[in-house]
Amino acid sequence: MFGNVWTIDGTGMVVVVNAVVVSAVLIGLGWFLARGKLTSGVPKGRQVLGEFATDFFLNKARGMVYDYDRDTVVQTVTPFLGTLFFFILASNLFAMIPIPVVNRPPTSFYSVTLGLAVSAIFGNLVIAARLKGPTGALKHLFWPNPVQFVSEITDVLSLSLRLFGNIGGEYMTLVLVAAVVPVGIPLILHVLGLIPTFVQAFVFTLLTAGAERGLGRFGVRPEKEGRRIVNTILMALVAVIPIAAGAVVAAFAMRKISVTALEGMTRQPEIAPQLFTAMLIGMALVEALAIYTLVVTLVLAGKIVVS
Amino acid sequence: MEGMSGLNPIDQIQMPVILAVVAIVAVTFVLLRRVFFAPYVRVMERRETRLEAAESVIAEGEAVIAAIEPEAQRVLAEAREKADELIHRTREEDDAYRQSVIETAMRESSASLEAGRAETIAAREAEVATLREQAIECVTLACEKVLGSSEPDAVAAAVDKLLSRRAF
Repeated sequence: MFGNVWTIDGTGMVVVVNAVVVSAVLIGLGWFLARGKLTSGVPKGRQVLGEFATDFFLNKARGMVYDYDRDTVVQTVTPFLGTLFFFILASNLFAMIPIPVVNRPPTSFYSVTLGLAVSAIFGNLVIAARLKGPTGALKHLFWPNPVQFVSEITDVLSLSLRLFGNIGGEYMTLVLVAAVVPVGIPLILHVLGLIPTFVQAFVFTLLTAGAERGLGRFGVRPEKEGRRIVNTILMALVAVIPIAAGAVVAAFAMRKISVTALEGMTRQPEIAPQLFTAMLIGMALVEALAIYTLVVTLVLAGKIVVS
Repeated sequence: MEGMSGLNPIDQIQMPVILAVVAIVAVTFVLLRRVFFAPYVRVMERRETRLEAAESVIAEGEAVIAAIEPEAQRVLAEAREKADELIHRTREEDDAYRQSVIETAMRESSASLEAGRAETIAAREAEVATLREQAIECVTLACEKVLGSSEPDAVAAAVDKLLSRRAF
């Protein structure tokens, strides 16, 4: 089923090279933006862009300070979330390069998204270990629920599959359409593809930040606990209900897609690979709808500070 | 269509790629943190600290203002009271000065009027005396022409009687 997982094929080589290119571009761009003297007064020129790129992640990090050392949190969490976001964004944008095969986005290959998810969760554990010590971080995996660590594994799987499903589906659609109509339509798909490109990078980073908040919650002060419970109930009402509705609708749509595809495959096994491809693309598009609901929910949830 | 070969995620699991991605992300994180995020976070945190310090200074200033507010109100009320008193006193002084100026003017105008009146009386008396002399002379001449002689004392008495009747 898994084949030989220790080998690497041509596509694997391409995406690794592309990931290295993405990394080099990001580091170069970062160096360019931070070159020269930065002012803590009114920023100008490149500094405005640099601060714009940092601000969101810095605010996320500030929201996780709790009782921990502020400097350690902001100096670790901000670059961690920022690196993940810009790495995924730049990887997703790789499909914009007009050279077939070479333009394969690293995030359209499952091993890459799995590697990113492993990095995200492992990074979260390392950060938690720095803040609370190795014992505190490990304690979170097994307490109060002894199988708490399962949620970390499912986090890895859900993060990697979501990103792969969306970017992979988008890239496959692009490849298929470009094979039939090489001019015009692919450009429209490129423009439309910009939305999931940004949304997926955003969602991946926000979910990582959410998992990070979960790891950091050991340090919540008792006096905040009451307000946290009230806000959690509010969150359940205004934020969880919409995502639940979105997920139920998406689940029904996916059920319909999979049932129809399976019926087709059973009737005509010879076209099963093509049906499987179409089924995955359809599921990716439905998943995108559920993710748009998730984005709206996250925006709503952002208005309620749980801790 | 090369990319179509691997739509099944399980077929795309390649440990070297996963490890390479983890390594690449780790290196990107370390380098981006050093060359980009650390300087920006430092600067933005410094700005945040400055803003917090400025806000605390503003809060302190507002507390000081709030603390001295009753004292300021008391000083203000006192100053207002003193100003009212000063205005009242000045107004009284103004009124007294104005009154004295008016009295002086009245006095001076009365004196001028009296002097003018005396002058007029003197002038009238002089004119009446002149008129009397001329009347006596005229009547004397007329008596001499008509009667051939005249009684100066009688003429003078007649003219005086006539003049006294006119009551100038």
